[in-house]
Parts: sequence; structure tokens; C-alpha cells
Amino acid sequence: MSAPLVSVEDLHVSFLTEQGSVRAVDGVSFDLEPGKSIGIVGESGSGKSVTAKTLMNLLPSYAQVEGSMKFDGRDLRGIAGKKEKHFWGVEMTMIFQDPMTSLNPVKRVGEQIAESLRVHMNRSRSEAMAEAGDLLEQVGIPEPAKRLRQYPHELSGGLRQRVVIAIALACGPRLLIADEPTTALDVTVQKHILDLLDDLRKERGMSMILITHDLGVVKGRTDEIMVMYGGRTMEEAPTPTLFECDGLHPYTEALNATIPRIDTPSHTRLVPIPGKPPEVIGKIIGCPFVQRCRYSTSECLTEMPPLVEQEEGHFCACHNPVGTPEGIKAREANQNAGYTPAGLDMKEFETSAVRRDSGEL
Amino acid sequence: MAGSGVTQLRDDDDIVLSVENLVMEFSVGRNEIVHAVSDVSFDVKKGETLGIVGESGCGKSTTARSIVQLPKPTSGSVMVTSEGDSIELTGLKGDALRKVRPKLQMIFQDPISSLNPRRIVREVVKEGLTIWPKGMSAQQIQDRVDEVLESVGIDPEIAANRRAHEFSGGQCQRISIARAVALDPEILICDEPVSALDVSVQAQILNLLEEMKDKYGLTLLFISHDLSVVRNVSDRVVVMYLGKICEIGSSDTIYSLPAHPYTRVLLASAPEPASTVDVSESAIGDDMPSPINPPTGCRFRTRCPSAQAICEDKEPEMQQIGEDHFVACHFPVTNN
Amino acid sequence: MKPDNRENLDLSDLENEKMDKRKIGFGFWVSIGWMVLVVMAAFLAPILPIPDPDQTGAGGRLDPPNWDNWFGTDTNGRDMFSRTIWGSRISLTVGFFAIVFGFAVGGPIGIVAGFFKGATDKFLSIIIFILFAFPGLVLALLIISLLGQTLAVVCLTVGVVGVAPIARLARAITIATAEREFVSAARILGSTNRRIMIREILPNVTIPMGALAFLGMALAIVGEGGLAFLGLSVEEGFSWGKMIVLGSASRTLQKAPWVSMFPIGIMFLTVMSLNYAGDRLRDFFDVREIGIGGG
Repeated sequence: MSAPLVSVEDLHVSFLTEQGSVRAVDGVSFDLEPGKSIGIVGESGSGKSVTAKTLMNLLPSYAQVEGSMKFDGRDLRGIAGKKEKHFWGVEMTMIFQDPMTSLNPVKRVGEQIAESLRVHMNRSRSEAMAEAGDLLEQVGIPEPAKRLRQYPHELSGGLRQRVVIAIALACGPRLLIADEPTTALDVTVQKHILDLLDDLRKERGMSMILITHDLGVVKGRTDEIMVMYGGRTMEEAPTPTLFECDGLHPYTEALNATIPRIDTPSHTRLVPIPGKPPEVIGKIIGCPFVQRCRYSTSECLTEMPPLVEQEEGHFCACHNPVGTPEGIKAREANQNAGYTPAGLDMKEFETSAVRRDSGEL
Repeated sequence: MAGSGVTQLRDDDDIVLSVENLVMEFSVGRNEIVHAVSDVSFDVKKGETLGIVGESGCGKSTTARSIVQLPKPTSGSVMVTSEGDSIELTGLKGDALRKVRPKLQMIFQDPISSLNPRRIVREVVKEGLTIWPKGMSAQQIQDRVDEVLESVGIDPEIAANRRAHEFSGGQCQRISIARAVALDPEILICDEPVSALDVSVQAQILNLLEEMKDKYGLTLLFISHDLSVVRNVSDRVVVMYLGKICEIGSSDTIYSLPAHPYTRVLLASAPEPASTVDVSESAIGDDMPSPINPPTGCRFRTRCPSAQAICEDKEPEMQQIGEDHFVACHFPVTNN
Repeated sequence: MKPDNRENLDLSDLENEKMDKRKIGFGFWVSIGWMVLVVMAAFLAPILPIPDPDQTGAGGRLDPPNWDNWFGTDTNGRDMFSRTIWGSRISLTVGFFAIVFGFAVGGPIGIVAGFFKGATDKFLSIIIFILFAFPGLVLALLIISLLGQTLAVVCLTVGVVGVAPIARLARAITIATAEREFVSAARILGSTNRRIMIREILPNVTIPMGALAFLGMALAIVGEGGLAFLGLSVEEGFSWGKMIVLGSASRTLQKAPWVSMFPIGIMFLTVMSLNYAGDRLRDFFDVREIGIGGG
């Protein structure tokens, strides 16, 4: 095992609002080795994007950050502000869901790529332009010479995202963070962009953090997967391991069961996850998923389970992981009682959706 | 893939919605015309769910909107049959159109924008019954509102006096469904109803729609870009591209024996590709042609892996290639 | 039971919001407090223990502020404190009724234009455009010279000038609201146009327009001051504007600046309070109500 390129330890991020402290990330740790990729999967409010933005130093000033973040051994929290202008966007860079937000609408594509080359790599104007053309070719844009002179609005969504990738890669970063890079794109384009990111990463030996709400996007793509919920890591495992068992954590299992599959026949009833995503305001005691979990025991209400290694490389933060004797016992007990210790009616897990949203308000 | 033709229309007694040769064009200055929907025909039987799937710009939402005459289609026919009467919507205006409206209800993609932020939930759900009381007393209307709220899983006691912004996206979508079914519609059109929701909430709404369909005898038109979601809810599926129908058929047939090259591309491009196609089939160009200047002949030919000279010259007609399986392609893949 | 639509939004939305937008804030209540004070004083002027504003000799001539005459006296020895309170009656009346008129005329024009679009919109937009293009001052001169310098005419004049911007804003908000899906939903339920405008659009236009009303009142009060400067304000009685004009004769201004400074100061505070409160309201409702769909 080589030394990790990125090392995050016990990261906490919260935002102060009038309604209280919004806890966005609540004790997240992970390592990413050079040349490897990790997928962070979660729904809205899971803290996946905030984790990425914290790494990129993109949080607003009123965010409170605790914990340690290291990049190649350097403390990231020490690299703040403009002092280190050759760090952000050079060593470490990020692309977002909507390519238009990262592109300047009144500047030609070529200038935008060349700009970072000139600022960070001291290229001359003509050198930078030539390199920009090469980059466009590398990201699979046909007729790069013509595209260099175009404005972002003249390009389709897929091409724009490719331009954004070209800009991100211009200075040869060692880490690329992609935050839902294909969510705004059509399905046929989405696949091409994800494949492109994969190829470029392998060619350049770059590390990548791929953030998505869709388990399918990371399946068979990233080396590792981290599933987040309520600001916490629920499960972390090498991608094949995670999909082999369909998730040790009840949340991962529930996600897998609730998503319709392209290969299952029509009208296959989906197993719903009752309730709604967790409150983000205030401190929570216990496991954030307890209100929606059918494996919960009274312990889950009061004590956040630690992230422990269940099997080689496979970490799970659950008192009663799926398939373990504890898990089976807890589920049976809840089934017999009819209710979970969190007061959730076990009938809610039946495929019928018509239940009162009790307690949802 | 420019699928014109009407062979896919069925000759059945229990057709409740029949769309024939629907065309929707918008002019965008300087004599340019967007061909959003071009000669689309399909029908839906009572109790059936028809899924329309396609990428952005394929005209699926425009089709839905022109069925409810918002705005009226450029040409074509939209026929709704209810209690034995067939009504042609495109010819109706003013009050005549308003009177038919309760038959066709719709739910939208953005759950929060679907509800007026200034009105309480009870008023929102009651709105249709206030306009069309159908001889119901105030108390009966009240009871009906409670009943539909209850049936979508919203507690009327707790929820009815609150406003939309106090609810989560999934709950707002439930309220929208309640509003739509309160009028006892014949057809419920769902335009990307789960796209804005978290995956953990998506299944709740999909299951709810299935249940509402049974309970209120609804016929569903379900529009989505998500192939898996469409398969899950639909009996029949229409695949659209650039304003045309590529393929139409029973949903399991479309997914297990996709015949149109575009359907195959879609199935191969999904994050978890369908097992019936090879992943390599997803390799096509990124750029959809402009609907202002759609390609001649088959509209998919510019990106189609099996395009030949004929595809440029001649628009393929819709042809039947199996039981309830129609495709508009000169070279459909039939030897699965 | 927290009203919270935020679990649908990613936390990134939260970060991008200005935090102070969620709070109406202390300053808002200070502004409201000041306005209540000014309005109460105007209402209660006849029964307040203050000298008659027209009584000469309530103090010496051009006395500086003192115990008896808090704001000093003017050239005729009239008590400036009393005059400032009495003067607010006309200023506030103009501010209020001008805006009422502007909203009563401009609001419906804007809503109808924005709702029906097409030919209706083109026609109404041309009218709005002409009103905009017509110099406000010339318009004011025209109306007042035709109808005379009465309080009603001054209100009307200032109101007419406000019609175009109010109509334009109402039109913009209506267009934005009409695009929202609940309007389509209402149509699909079979609502008539009238019902949609009244039940769906109007409540959503009222809130942001209400915030604008504060700003409009501020502008109307200043506008009346402007008319007074040109000698076009009410003939009978006096307003802050008229007092400022009287106090700004160059000799008076040099010898007794308080004669103009007090009405100016009070008017400034009132206008600022209106502006600030309107601004806060707009920000507040932007997030809470209007911004929900955009979230």
C-alpha cells in the first residue's frame, strides 16, 4: 500500500443558520491512494457535496470545519487563500453538475482553457492555445480548432462538460473531484462522459473522487465506494465487494432494493424506504438512518455505531449489519413485534405505499 | 427513425385516449420553426399505463402538454373517450374545453412549483371540486378531500391547513396526486413525476401511482427520461427521438427485444445497461441535431450505427414486427 | 414541527444563500417603529399638546431649537416642531394615496398583460412604454395646471407617474408566476382565466408588490417634495416639501438652517425607514415564498 494522496480524518462541517446549526458532515474519514478512484454515493443532505467542497476550500466563511484533511502529506487547512494560487485548480481540481456555472459565457472556449495554462504554467499565448487544442482533442471534442473559437452557449451540454473537463485537466492535476458530473446530461451522453473521465484518469495516473446520487453510476467504475447518509459514512468497500453482497448496511441494502431495474419485468413492486431523508438541523443521537431502518434495535436510537471493518476492506457503520447474526435477529425481532424500536410500523416496508406519513411532518 | 404512420393504433373498444398525427411546431423568429413533435400517433386503453421515454428534446413533454391542449397542437387529433362519449379535444375552445378538462389530469416534475405557495393544502386539493361541485354539498366536498388526502398517505388532520413549503418533495408530489384524482379523472398524465425526488422517496411515489391506478381506475400516461422507471410502471412503452416515435410496444418486449437502433443505444447507455444489448452499442455521437433543421428521411440517421443511403431519402414508416411491437426503421434489429 | 422544505435542496443551496436573508432582522422593526411613530403623530396632531402650527409668535423669529420650541421657529415665529408634525399629514397622505392609485391602476394592467401575453400584452406594454417615455415632470405640470393644486390632484399626479414602473413590475412577476406549474395545474383542473388570476396569480404578486409599496411610498413622499420645490404642491396647507422650500431661502438657510433641516431630517428618516423595511420584506419573501420554486 502506497501512502495516500488524500487523507481525511474525522471531518465535521456545520453551517450556522437561524434555525440552528445545520450539520452537513459529521465525522467522515477516508483515504485515497494515488491513481485510485473513490465514489461517494448519497442522497441530498447526505453531505457528499459538502465533503468535496470542503476539500476544495470552497465553503462559505460561516461554515465551521473540524478534523484533518491532508493532501500528499500537507495539511489542506493550512493551504488557504490566494497564497497558494498554484495549488487549487492545479494540484487538485473540481468539476460540477452544471457545466455552465463553471464556464464564462462571454469568453471563447479556447481562451478559457488557455487562461489557466498561462496563469499557472507560464505558457505563452500561442503555446497555451496550441495546448488547449490538444486538450480538446483528448477530451474527445471533434474539430478542436473550430471549437476553440466558439462560445460556451454554442456547444451542446455534453460538449460543454467536456470543455470543463479540459479546463480541469489543463494543469495536470493529481486529484480530480467530479460532483455529479453527468446528472444534468442525457443518458447517452452521460455514459460517454463517465467513460472519458475513467480513461483520462487511467492515462494520467490521476486520483478521482466521483460524487453521485446514483449507485449505478459508480458500479464497475470506481475502485472504492463510500455510501453516505445524514452526513456520515454508512459503508465503505471496494466496488466489487459492495455489489457482491448488495450492501452490508441496511441503508445500502434498502437503496438497492428500492431502485427499479432495467432488467426486471414491468410492474415489479419496489420495496420502499419509509419516511424521508433525515433532518439536518441540530445534533442527532444514534444512527441517522434509525427512523427508516428495519434492522434497528434500541441501541441504534442512542448510540451511533462506529465504522468497523466487517471483512477485508469492507467497513460498515451498523450495530446489526445485513446478513450477520445480529442483523437477522434484529429484523426478526422487529417483524414479530410489528414495530421497530424507533416506532416504525414494519408494514411500511411492504410494497404498498398507502400509509400515512405519520411523523413525517 | 422518423416514425410516421398509424399502424400502431389499435382497433379496440376500450381505448380512452387516442392521439393521431400529432404535430407541434413553434416559430422562433426569422421564419425558423422548431419541429418539437412531428406526426406522433399512439393510443392508450382503459387501465393501461403507457410510458413515453426519450432524452431531452425528444418531444415527450411537449406531447403531454399538447394532449391537455396547453398549448393546442399545430395539427393532429387528440380523442378522449369517457363513459361512452368520444370527444375530440383539439377542436374545443373556451368553456367547452374547460368542461372536458377534469377528465385529463396531470402531475408535474417539480413538486414544489406544482403547488401554490400561498394556499393551504386543503384549498389546493379542493380546488377542482370547487370549480366542478357536481352537485356535492360542502360537507361532501370536504369528505372527498379528506378521502383523497388519506389515500395518498397524507393525514388530513395534520396536513390540510399547512402550505406547500412545509412539506418535503415527496409529500408535495403526493398532494399533487391527490389534487389530480379528486376530480375522478379518466387519464392521469405524469410528466417526469419522480425526477426531482431522492431515490429513497422515488419508490414510494411509484408504488403510490400504481395503487391510485387500481383504486381510482386510472389510465396513466407516464413520461420519463429514466428507462428503468418507465419499464417498472408501464404496460406499453413509446420510445421517442427528435419529435418522432421510434418504437412502440409492450414494455417487456421493448426492453427484451429492442428493435430500433436508438432504443438499443438507450438501453446500452443506461448506468446499468440492459442485459439484452451489448454495452458497445452505446457508441454514438453526442450531438442531437437541431429540431429547427431536423435531418431528412429518418431523423436518427445522423447518429445511427446502421444508417444507409435510404435512411436519408426516405422516412421509415411504422411497421409491425411482432405481437404488439411496432418500429419505424428501415433496418430494425429483429434477430435477438 | 419545523417548516422545512430543505431536505429536498442540497446543502449547497443553503451555503449559497445569504444568511441574513432568512431573518427579517432588528433594523426592520426599528424602521417600522419609526413609521408607526410618524403616522401616529400625524393622526394625533390636533390633540397633541403642541402649538397651532400657524400661530405666529409661538417663539421669537428664527429661534434656534430650545426647550419651548424643540425644532426652533421659522421667520414668522411659528413652532417648527408643530409644523413638522402637521406637515407630515400632507406628505404622508400623498405618499399613501399616490401609491394606492398607482397600484390600483398599474397592478391590474401589469397582471393582465403578463397573464394573457400575446396581443393584450403588446397593447398594454405600449401604453406602459409611452407612460415611461413621457417625462414625468411635464406630465405633472400638465395635470396640475389643468386640474389645480388640490391635495387630490397632487396625489393623482404622483400616482400617475408611478403607474408605469408598478405595471412593469407586476407584469414581470405575473409572467414568472404564470410559468409555475401550479398555474398549469389550475388550468388543467378547468379554472377560468379570471379564477386563475385571482386565486393563483394575485396572492403571489401581492407579496413582492407589497414590499414594493414601501419603496413606492418613499419615492412618492420625495416626489411631493420635488413638486413643492417647483411650487406645484398643494396650495392650501403645507407639507414637508413646502416647509423645506420655505426654509431654503438663502438667507434663512444661512441664519437658521434648522428651519429646513428638521423637515429634511424627518423626511429622510421616514423615507429611509420605508426603503429599508421594503427591502427587507422583499429579501425575506424572496426566500420564503418566491424563491421556493427556484430552490
